[in-house]
Amino acid sequence: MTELLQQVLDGLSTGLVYGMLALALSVIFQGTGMLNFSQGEMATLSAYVTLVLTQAGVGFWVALPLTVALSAGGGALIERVLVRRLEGAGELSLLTLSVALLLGLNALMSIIWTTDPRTFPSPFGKGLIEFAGLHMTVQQAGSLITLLAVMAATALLFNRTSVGLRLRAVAQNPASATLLGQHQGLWLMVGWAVAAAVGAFAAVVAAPVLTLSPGMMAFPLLLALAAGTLGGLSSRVGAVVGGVLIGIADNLASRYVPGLGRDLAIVAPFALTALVVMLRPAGLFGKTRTVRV
Amino acid sequence: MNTHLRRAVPIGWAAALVIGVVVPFVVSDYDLLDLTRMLAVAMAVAGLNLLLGHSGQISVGHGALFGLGGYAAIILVATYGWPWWSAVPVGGAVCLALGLLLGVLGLTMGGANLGLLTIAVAAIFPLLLIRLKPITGGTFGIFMAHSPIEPPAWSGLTEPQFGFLVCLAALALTLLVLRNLVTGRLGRAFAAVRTSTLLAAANGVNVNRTKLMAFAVSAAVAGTGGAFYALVAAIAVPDSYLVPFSITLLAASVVGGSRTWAGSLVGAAIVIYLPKLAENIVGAESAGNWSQLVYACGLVLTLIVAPSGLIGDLSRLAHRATGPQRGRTSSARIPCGPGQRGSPQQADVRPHVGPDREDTHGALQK
Amino acid sequence: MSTGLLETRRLVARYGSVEVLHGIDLSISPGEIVVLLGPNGAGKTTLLRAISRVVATRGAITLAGVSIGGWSGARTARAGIGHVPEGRGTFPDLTVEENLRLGGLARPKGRRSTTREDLAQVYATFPVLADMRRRAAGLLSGGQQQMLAIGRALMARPQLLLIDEPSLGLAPMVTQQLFEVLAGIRGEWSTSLLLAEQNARLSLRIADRAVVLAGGRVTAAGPTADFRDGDVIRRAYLGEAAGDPVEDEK
Repeated sequence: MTELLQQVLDGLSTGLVYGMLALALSVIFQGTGMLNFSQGEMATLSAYVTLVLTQAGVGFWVALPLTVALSAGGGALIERVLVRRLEGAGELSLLTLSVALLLGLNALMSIIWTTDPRTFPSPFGKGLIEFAGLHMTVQQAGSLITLLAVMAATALLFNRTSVGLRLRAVAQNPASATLLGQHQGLWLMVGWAVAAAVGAFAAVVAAPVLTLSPGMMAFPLLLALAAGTLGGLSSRVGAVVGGVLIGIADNLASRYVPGLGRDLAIVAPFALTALVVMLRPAGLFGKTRTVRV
Repeated sequence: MNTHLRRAVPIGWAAALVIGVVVPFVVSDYDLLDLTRMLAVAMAVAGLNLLLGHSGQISVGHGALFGLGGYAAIILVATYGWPWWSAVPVGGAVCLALGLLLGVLGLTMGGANLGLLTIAVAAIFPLLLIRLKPITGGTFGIFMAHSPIEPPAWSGLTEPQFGFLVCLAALALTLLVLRNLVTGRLGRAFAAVRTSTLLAAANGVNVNRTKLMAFAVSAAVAGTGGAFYALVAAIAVPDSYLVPFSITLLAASVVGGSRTWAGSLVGAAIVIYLPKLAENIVGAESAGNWSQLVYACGLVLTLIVAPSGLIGDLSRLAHRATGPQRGRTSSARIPCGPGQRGSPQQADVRPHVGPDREDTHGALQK
Repeated sequence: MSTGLLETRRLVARYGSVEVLHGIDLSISPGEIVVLLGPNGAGKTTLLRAISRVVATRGAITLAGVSIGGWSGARTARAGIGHVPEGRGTFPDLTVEENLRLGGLARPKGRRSTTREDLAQVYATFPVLADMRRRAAGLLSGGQQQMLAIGRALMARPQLLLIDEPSLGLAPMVTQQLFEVLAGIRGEWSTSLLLAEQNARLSLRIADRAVVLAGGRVTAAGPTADFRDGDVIRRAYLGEAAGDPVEDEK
């Protein structure tokens, strides 16, 4: 039993990373209708920025907010310069653009930092916490708390502030928001900035465990995509819950399903997602709307 | 004037075929191998064109299908001693089956989920290859001393020459079949589905069956191309079929022009020759990265500057230059009322991107 | 020289290559209620959209003497033109109060401090909204949504409120009530009203002036008293009011 709980706990802490990325995906999907395959690469770039900053002597807790700010700026820039130009070009073009960004950012990072994995210092230090037979590394606990805090902050931003209100309004009905004096373009840009910042947290927190390389977020992104689909990308809560479920499913499958093992465990979350989506096409928390003609 | 151009297209293809037949006798065997690989990749890109340009679906997993076809064929030849010409169709058939399965899954899941599903396949495929070592040879893959596509003794051809001609014939046949597919009844169904699933359904087109068919055929074509690729190169390793390769194929389709068949050749040429070019400029070590970066930039530029792809937009220019006409590429663009791209009232251009659109698909499946 | 709040001169609007408005002259004074009548496809919606700058136009358009021809939709909204679009355009997943607060975000800088009072005033004008303030707007009935959309636009403290087909899809009883509220709005919120409406009978009762649009041209205009006789409207609808668009003299 303790063993099972331990697996769930481990799954939870990786699942939050997926949930965090899925949250970023969800914010962009709701705003621009784009399934952003490059979210993982964007996040990885953020982790490299943190590494560069810390290596330049900046303390981690100073480098982190700097990174987040830079990432937000980068996200806004991508929206303004690239996504905006494909406005109205359709889902397929947007998807292709995100794939291009994935390819490009990955190549860029490989050229600058090579593909060799680098150790990324844990901001929380080493050590083990034990409680009722369960154990957790300090790094795990620290990232858990950080991610929960960021998620709470994001929830507050969206649900309690006027910025969030505008973001939600523009995402839901851009034409109507314009008539209410909201600059649609501005808020789509802000949405991208928020998503990039959220993704940056995910990468920085995950990097000490995964070791930093340009492809670090490739699998987490896939799982985040599954998480978003499972929970429903039209719901931010759904994306996060989906992430946690995926993390747990992935961990349990690698431990308990014979023959899968660590490398192929990724099949399990996808099977789970496919199953759920067949029953509920919009995902667990997503809203199903009828076709409006 | 336009009829001239229309007549010029088949002439162009015939000329290309003639040149193709001459090429193996003027190009060195070493260079010929690259050209042959290009032809095989062109098949995969053409398959992707059918999907992307004609049925409006996406696949980020055609690299895996390409690999699956290749592995299936080379295993049959290397391990079980089959002749190449019976192994190639099996490669295609295996991919047809997987394509049907993925298509059904994707349609049941609905909307953008096909993208997710295919990228998952692309990611899992190399892992599976490594895992199934007894069959696939694991990380080192399967290799053969030389290509099993051997010329018959009477022909007097060298092996690369014969391989090239075989692939040329296969590609020509593939393009012919695909072309007839999209100009026929099914093509109209494709066009309807691409424009609006709702419209298509209202006009009695079986949307799901049409999409499924497109996906399956596209997968089979990619698999066949992959089979040729692996057999010509006489090697199949997991590293050739990683996610970036799948994305590269997608890029090739878009950059070449996913609604033109000539575009598939251009796209494939980029896939094969760009890394070589990069290698000459920046050296072997980072050539892959640089060419990947160039792909990405090319893809973005194409999306923004030439949405119909290199060949697509070139031929549109040609059409424009040759007088008033119904451009073959531009006829596909159906104006969607007062909210077209580029019109000034952008506030209303983008009603309900996102969730709603996804649900449009979902609701149709019910 | 007119002292109108809103003036348009030879306003032309087009969607792509299709010209929908062929030179509209319109003038609305402060505190005035003007009703825009006309058959489907006459260009009523386009004219409202042109005024709120979400459709590209040629010709002159001024708000309180300032040309707004080059402005964006968002800027125009902030400058004091409220627009309740056809189909209401409420945000279904936002609560009623969030919808209203969103409206309040567009108000001119000087009026931010009175947001709370205005919210109370909206609830006073539409008591039903107060009862549902925490509910998702998507769950409201058609009539309630219309009230929400109007309340939301009022929260921006507009100088001119454009309302597109408020009676569309509403039961006659509800429409009646809605028009009673509309009649009171200009006094309570000190705004002008431009109403595009199919229901000529009800709208003529509350308006000061009527403008009839047909085929993208003004075919008749004048004080509502002139239109009480149904024939005038009928002729205007059919575009029979021959010759130049009638200039309204104030």
